[in-house]
Amino acid sequence: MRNRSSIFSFDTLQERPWPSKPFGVAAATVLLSVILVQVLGDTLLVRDPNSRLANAIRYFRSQEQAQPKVLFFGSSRTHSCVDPETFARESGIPRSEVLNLAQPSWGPWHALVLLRHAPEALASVETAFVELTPDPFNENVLHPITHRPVRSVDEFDAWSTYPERVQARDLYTRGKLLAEYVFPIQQRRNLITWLQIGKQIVLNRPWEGEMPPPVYHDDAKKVARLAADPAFEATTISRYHLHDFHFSNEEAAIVRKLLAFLRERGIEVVIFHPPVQAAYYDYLASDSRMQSEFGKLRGFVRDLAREYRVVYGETLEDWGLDNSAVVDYGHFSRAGALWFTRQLCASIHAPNQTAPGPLKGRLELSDALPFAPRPVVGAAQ
Amino acid sequence: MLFNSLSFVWFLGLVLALYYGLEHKWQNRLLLVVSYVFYAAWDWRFLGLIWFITLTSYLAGLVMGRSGNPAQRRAALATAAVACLLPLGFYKYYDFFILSFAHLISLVGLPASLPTLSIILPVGISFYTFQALGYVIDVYRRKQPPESDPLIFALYMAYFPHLVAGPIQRADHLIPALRSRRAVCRSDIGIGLELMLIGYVRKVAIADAVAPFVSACFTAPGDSGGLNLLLGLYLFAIQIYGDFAGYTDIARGMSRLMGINLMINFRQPYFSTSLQEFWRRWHISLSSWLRDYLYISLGGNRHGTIQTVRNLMLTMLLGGLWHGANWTFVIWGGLHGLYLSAERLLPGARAPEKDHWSWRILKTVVTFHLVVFAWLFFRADSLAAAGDYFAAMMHLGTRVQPHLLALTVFYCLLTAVIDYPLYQADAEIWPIRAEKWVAKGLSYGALAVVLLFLGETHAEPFIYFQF
Repeated sequence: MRNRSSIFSFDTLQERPWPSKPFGVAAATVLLSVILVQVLGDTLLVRDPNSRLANAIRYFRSQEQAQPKVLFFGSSRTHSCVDPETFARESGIPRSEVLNLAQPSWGPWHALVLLRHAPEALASVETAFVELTPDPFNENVLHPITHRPVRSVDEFDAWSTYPERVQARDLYTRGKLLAEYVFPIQQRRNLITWLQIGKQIVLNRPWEGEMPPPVYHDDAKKVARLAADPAFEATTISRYHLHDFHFSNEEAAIVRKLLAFLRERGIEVVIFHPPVQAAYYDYLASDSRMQSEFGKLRGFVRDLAREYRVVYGETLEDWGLDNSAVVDYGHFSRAGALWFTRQLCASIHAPNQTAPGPLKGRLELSDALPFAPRPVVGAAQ
Repeated sequence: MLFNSLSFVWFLGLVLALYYGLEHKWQNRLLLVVSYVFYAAWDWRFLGLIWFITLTSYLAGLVMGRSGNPAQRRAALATAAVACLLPLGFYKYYDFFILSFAHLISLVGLPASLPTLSIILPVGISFYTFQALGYVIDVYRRKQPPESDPLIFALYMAYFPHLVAGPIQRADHLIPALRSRRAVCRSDIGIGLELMLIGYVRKVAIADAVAPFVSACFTAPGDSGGLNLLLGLYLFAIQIYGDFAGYTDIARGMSRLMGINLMINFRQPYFSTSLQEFWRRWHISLSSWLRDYLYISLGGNRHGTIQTVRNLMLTMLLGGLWHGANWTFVIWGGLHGLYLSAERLLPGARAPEKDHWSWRILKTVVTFHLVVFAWLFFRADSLAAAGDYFAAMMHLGTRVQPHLLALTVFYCLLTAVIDYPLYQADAEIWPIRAEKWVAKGLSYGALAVVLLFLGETHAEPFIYFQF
């Protein structure tokens, strides 16, 4: 029988030995570099240095004067519906004590990451508003471009903890996330990002990208489009947010962790939901299984209401608002934001609004489908 | 399937695992099958094209080998040449010539509505067409015996490391290597892996990293100042070299792992002190092909200065057109033809390389800038775009963008750090002696770190795949 590996002509008398020494040195060089970057990773935020999360972390690490007493966590909807100035004025506190930290596409997980890396953010905080919206609770919400579960996006690859990676649903994602944790491909970046990181170290200056102020969506074209077809945006976006809705227990655990994190620091928590057009929920009407799953979310909110203050009107009508308050399915116009902020402020400052308050009581009553007509809350003010 | 994609890493791993376990005859069969799989991964519909060109040139070779009749041999050569060039002309140049002709007749006031086709260019067609042409011409010139084994010939044409972007192999180099039983020794594996590492650094950590900045400059030249556009051109010079030389290094490295040595394609061209030297160091497989099969066939430099200049211009113009069906490539080739002609005409321009070091540096800088200027036409989408870029580059008053300057300096230095030892030693891998194992380990470790921490995460196609 012929030697099947006869292609190799390793003749130890004629050939040099395997280059194990230089290979060892090269491997050690790579390993040391990886370890060094890992060790310095949290300080330099090398995993994802240009992300909004990294900017927010740097902001809190570097802002010595920032002493917010009221903090808002949430997505672009909270970004658009809470006006810090109005909130401060209505609450009788300085403007500098209110910070709307909401950012587009952020959810409770982002808040948790931020607080893990920059607990300084909470040093002076007395009240934290935490937005809860349905989309992060949907296990089947897919990224509109990659069509992958949103949890698989690069941000999650870079910032998630080891236990979070282990919980990934499919084997491939779990393996990828774990491999990423040990051997962070996300740390591969171009020269510019390294130069930016180096600049921060050398100059010891706060990151240039400060937290942007809330931007109000008063786009005339969008307003006109909404007037022409009020339900268009709501029915379109809900197909993405609520697609094959399946309640995520992982997200519920993340919310619980975030709330516990805040509570441990003696911070009062207010859970709220920036309302949307009622048509947003129409998508659920077609499927009783989705309604059942969505009911789990509402049950989760009700459970939270036993421990925390909850202000959870699902639709604009719940708040006594109509479509003129928003410029799409749920992003507020300037006028709508001012009104909503005043209402939100009034609801939490109203006497006897401790758990279980009237808003939570109303939620208890609303076991009907979420798009069923509600008593108008805003009208009572 | 890009060399810089994860799917290719799996593919190569699987091929090597099978390859090492087989005997020679089966190794070639395996290579042929996986080469067609590799090509089909781009677009299986063009498999028929490569089969057609392979079959035609194979049969033409057999006919020329067996016939002593010059007319019959000429007919076989002509048939093979037409059969090879027709698909190239159709797929690559049909629209170009039709549109150019329409433009021409519209200039004289005639109606110019001619049918154009939106044809997909088969990947690698220019490379394997030239490889087939080189073979039939060599057989015609009796420099190469015709290959009778269809398996060997098909593999010569389709061997996957060089299939889509070269190096364009010569039959007298690759066919004997495919015929003979292969042996892989430790130094082959070492050199193969080193070449692949250098290649990946060139492609992923240099070419792909600067690509967005080059694109930004060329997309809206009016938005950048003149000096920034100059930096953009320097970056493109680094990008295209990193991209193509990186591809070649990876291809040669993986082939070395299989015991097959592909011809060298780049020898640190930006250190050249003359344009003639540049073309002996840049895309060597193409420039030597053009020299041997076109320039010399036209008469070379044997018939006086005027004829030589004419031959140089024709060769370089066609060389430019080989790259793509666009007048920008013709101008690029024409510029290089002018450079080479001027070098021949200038007294002392081709002096022996015993100049003072300062004079050599000056010549290198001048040569580099002439090459960089020509790259402007190579990179621009149209002549108008090249004109706009050049006009904007002349506005030198604007401030240099610090990040662009930092990028240019860094990537030029990185390229020089990789290339200078190779240039000094005229070697294909870093000439570090075995006794200096710490230095060797640190050097290659540093390259791996660069690849890991500066490499782009998504796989960008190689520029030369479009040719």
